[in-house]
Amino acid sequence: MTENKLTPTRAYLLGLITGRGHIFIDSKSIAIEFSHTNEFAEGIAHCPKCGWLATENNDGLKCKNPKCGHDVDPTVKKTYNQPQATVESLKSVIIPFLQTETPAHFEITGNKSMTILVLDFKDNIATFDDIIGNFSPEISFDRFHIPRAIYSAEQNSKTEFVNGLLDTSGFASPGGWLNRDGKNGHGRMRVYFQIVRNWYLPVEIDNFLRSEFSLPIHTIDWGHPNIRDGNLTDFFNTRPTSWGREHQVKFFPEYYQGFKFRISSKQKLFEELTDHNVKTVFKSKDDWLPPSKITKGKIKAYHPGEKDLRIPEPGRRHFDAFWQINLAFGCKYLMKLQSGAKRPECFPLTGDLECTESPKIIEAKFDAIRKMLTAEAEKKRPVRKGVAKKTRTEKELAEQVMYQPLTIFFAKYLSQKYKERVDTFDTSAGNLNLFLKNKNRDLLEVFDYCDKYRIRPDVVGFLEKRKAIGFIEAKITPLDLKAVGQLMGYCLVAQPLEALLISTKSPSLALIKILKARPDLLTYSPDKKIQLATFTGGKIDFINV
Amino acid sequence: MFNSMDKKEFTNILRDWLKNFLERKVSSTHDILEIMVPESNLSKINSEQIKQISNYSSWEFKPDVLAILKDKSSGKLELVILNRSISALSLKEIGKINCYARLTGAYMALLASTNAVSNEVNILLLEDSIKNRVLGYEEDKQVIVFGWDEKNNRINTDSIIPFEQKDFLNS
Repeated sequence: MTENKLTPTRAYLLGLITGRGHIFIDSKSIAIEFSHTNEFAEGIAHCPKCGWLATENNDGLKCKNPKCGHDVDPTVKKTYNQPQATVESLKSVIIPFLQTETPAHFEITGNKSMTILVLDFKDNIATFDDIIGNFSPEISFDRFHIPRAIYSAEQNSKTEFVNGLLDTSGFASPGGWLNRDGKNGHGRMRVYFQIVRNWYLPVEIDNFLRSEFSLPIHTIDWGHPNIRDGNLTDFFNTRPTSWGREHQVKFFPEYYQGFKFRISSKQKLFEELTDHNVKTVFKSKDDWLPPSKITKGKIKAYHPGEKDLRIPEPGRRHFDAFWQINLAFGCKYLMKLQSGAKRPECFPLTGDLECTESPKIIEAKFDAIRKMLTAEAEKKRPVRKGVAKKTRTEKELAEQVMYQPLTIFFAKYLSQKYKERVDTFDTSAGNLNLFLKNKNRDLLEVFDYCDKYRIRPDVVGFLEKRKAIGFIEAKITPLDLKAVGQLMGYCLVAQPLEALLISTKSPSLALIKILKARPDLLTYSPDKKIQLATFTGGKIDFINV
Repeated sequence: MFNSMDKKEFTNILRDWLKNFLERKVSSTHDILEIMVPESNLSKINSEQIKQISNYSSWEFKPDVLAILKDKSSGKLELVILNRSISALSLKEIGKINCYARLTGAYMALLASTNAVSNEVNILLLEDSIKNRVLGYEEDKQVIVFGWDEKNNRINTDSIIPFEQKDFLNS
């Protein structure tokens, strides 16, 4: 397929994949996630007496009209069953639409919080290769860019690409209203693209909508510490990484009526929000571009999270305004403004096109304010009595104590056995793929195949020469079939070079009895098996059943 | 909102469902000797049928629901094991039933949840090679995983993994 012949159907599929797609090269399949975290989504509440927006306060729903102010019955809100609507829309609208041009076998799977559409191309590998060529070498939505082919496609295909993006990453919720007065009411509704862990896509979407459709964007709400936790409130209130959520590209739906959701519940909410804004009448476009200047009052405190490895290099620093992040991630409109500024090097600091002050002086002034704000935030830090962090059970704490010595042991054990350098880590806090993405990107370069391993062994060893991994699962209870099953699950997924199941207690008699009869139960690939061991007095003893 | 069922209630529902299911699916080839909710490990269970199966004495575990079948032509006794959960299924539960299935050589191994498979595992199981390893046992058998639709009291047909078992479970 040549770039200028991208059909609307294919463009829609590329939009779905860009938003939430996973590519499985070996299986010749593509999975697309449709997230619906809450089973039910609620529509807007309007006051039945005056028609104004009603919002929640401590006493329930109340009309926002100061001349009315009536209590509003919550049943005025429409309710949408999201999982049900998603499956129905996939079966009756989306799959038939895609099937017209996509020779794949379609399957639906999922649960209450997510529906997944799977396209199996085993019988049409050429089409599969053609589609994934748009994203190569990436295989997951958290690294995808807008495919180049979209930029040169015809307008109706560009529209369908956005429709695909909307169905997967677009969310219309009345909760995101903006505090604005309109001619006939209050509260301006916003819809947003929710971009997960992908730091380049928000600006690409913003710039694409501007360049191809001349549409305004209200803001990009970055999952960056300076934007989400600008005054360190969460940081000092036991939520130090609360900022690390998705990014949101927010827009006013009345300008986007040329697009549509094919997921019926999303489309109905989109229409509700659009109708509200159209009836309320807002004159301003409220576009973030051109950006507002950074004045003293907008400067933000320094946040320790600015250096977090989860943030890719262009964004791993301090920002005082969201648009500075847009610039850092390549916003072409800001770069154009910058090139026309009187002193281009001042623009990224101030957003002021007329500024002629020395950037060093500006930076020094801002730095002093930031430091002052940081000190003030520190002073407001709540005084805590006792341990306030996430409460762990005694069992979790006892297991946690094992991780450090086991990490040291595992490094020694693996390097002696395999005669090569080994890095071992306590990975118990999260999934292996996220551990590598967030805390050790260098290792991810070597162990790229681990990117798909959403598994959580307690300790992982990385053998760089062999590109192999090893697991330890630690327990403080006698080893039983349940513990074997857990580690077996991880091993069947990742096929580690070594897998050790270690407990501070001896194995249960039941497990010993089972293994005496069926020692092969510990085998997870033809030449690899789980080893059992005890950890007592700082010493590891392997168990030969 | 649903998801109100407790484990015991869910077990009983699945026991009844399994009875109907087996009657529909295997009664032409197998006699359904017993369907039970084991109260002790299979090695200690008071069942003459189980005691006829070799290796039963090492089965120090209990599935949530167990069915014992007899092949009408060969007379061989076969087991159907079913585990259940009221939270989204993780690799722990799948690994556990995989062990049960390998130990017993179960004729059929089923894993059900009112919340189906967790998002993380669902994506993992879309990779054919991983799915075959995680669900596979013996030479050509696979654990069948599914979500239970509480509102309609039936299998959520869109949640069945592997996909190729959808028709078998639905028809």
